[in-house]
Amino acid sequence: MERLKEIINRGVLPGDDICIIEEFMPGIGSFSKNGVVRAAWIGVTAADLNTRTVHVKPVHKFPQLPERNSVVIGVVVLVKDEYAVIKIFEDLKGNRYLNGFTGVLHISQASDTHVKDLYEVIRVGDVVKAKVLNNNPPYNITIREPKLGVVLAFCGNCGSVLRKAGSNMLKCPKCGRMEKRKLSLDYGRV
Amino acid sequence: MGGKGEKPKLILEDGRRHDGRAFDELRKIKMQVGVLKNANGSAYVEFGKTRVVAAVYGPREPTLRHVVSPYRAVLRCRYHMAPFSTDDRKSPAPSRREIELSKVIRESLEPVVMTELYPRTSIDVFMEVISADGGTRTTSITAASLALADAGIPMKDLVAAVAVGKVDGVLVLDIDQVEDNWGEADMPVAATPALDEITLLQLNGTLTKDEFREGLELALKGIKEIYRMQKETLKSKYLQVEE
Repeated sequence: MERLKEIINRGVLPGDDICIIEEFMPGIGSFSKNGVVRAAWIGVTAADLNTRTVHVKPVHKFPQLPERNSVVIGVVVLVKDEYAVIKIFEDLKGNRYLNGFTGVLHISQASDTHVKDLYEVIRVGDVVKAKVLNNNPPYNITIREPKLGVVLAFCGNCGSVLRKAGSNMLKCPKCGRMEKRKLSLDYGRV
Repeated sequence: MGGKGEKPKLILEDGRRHDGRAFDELRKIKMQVGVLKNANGSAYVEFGKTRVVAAVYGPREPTLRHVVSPYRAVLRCRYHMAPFSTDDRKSPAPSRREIELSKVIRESLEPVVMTELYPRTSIDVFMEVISADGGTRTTSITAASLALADAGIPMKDLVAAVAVGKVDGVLVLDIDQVEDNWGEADMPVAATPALDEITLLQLNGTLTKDEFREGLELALKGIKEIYRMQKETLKSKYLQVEE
């Protein structure tokens, strides 16, 4: 128990030794080399006695990358017959990605019902809320949930912001044009 | 650079160097982290009149698609000297020397950065020499490793670097521009003190076997001191309440 107090709650920098591998296995933010467990980033050490691992709670804001199952906001930059490319800018936890990441939406992930044409689901310039399916770029994303989908769209005629007019239908308040989208329940709330 | 005028006296009568330092004395060192607002991590390091700013961006989506690896992040380094950093204006275009140093610096950082955790991304390190007075590559490595730690990128250890030179037949630590121009040898060394590994070793000039061993020892001694300062700098910014 004395030794445990020495190991945990200690501020560490990259390369600082935490303990030896017989005491604890390296967890997140740590690694082992030659039998010594060391910190990989700046943070405070903590131990998990069930799995007998130590990890380093980072002082930085993590993650800096989108992760599996995180909900993100992006802008559609390209729509093809079977897939669309979306530039991801931030996630709902408030992490802003400096340069954005590329997300790919396949037609099979666009809606629960049969989709004849991806252009009836999203269009270039739409702001979408989507869920990430994998852990590294290029990210595969889905909008097959009621909360996910287009949250902001612009009229293809005059460019003004479209208003919701029934389920998955949008109407332009200026020129009266009707457009089809897969809408999020949060449409208009960005 | 170099070769101008008369050779100055590099070792004075009292055994001190031309700028008054002892043979195993470092220049005055200043370190700062988090100096740039828009970078993920940044650092400023000063060794006497050599000043370097380093910035780290990433892990981010690589701008060059063809360089990505599905197994790890690519580490990209750019070492650059500002046009006003030297006595004569330096062309801002990357010279042959700068391109080579970028590669050498990248290879000295690659062993510590845990790139395998971020596949298909790139981690970009930019080092800008603001003022050059010898030892710019070692100062850049020191600054880059601080900036990487400041960005929160997982790394096995901090890298510290210093150059050892031979001037007037005496091995000296942390040589400056004058000693580099007029000395007989220049040996930059980068190492990771906690892991006890050398990540960069270059030698320009000639040293005997014994001088080489002695010089390496001297460099590692200097590196330990620089490493301690790097840790203190990070500690005072991030772990102040502690201890």
